[in-house]
Amino acid sequence: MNMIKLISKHLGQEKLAAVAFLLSAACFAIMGGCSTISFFPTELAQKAADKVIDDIWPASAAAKVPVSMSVSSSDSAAVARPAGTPAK
Amino acid sequence: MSMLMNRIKPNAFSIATAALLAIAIMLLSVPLAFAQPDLDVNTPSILVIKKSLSQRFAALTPHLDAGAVGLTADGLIAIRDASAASAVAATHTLVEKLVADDNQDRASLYREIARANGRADWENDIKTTFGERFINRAQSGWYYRDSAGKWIKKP
Repeated sequence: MNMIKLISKHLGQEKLAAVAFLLSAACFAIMGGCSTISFFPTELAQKAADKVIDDIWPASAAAKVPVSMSVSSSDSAAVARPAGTPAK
Repeated sequence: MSMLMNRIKPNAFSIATAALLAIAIMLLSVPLAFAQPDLDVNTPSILVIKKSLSQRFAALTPHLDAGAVGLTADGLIAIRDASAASAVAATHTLVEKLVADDNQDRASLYREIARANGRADWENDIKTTFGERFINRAQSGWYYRDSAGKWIKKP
């Protein structure tokens, strides 16, 4: 509150109100934009894929590879790397 | 009445304070706004598809083990070496049918997951992500086809 008073002393109350109003309008615009542009949740999809694999492949068939080790299927060396083996 | 209005009439200072408070509240609520729940993979239609895939898996396993069939980067399966199918006493037509049926289920699965989560436009991303996880979790000795089209045997 003291900070606002200090800023208002320098800017003047009207200017401070205008700046704060513009800032809040910008925040609303950014949040509105972000809510309409929704990014694909890769980690959630990986978790979902693991759940599905657990359901359709018996435990003996599916290798347990943590999601953190997930790599692009184009990275053949990494895909071929057994679980727990560090990359060279 | 006018005296009362004058007393509660907001001045520029109180407007600024309220606006800054609103910004602070918005900034604090950002993490909550972006927190997403897990994807739903248990709707009735998805359960039916999963059951179908699970039941077919026993018939597919010998072909995956023999290398006749492999996984693909786009979340499907494909015939890799038709001659390997004869090693497990199966006709080419039978393997083709297994692969076609499985791919139909897989395509339906990805479409249903996207739809069940209210984002039909995520279907391709879901397909690719599932493809990666299927390959990551495939058994040693199974084949997979990478995005460049090259067949690789999992060590």
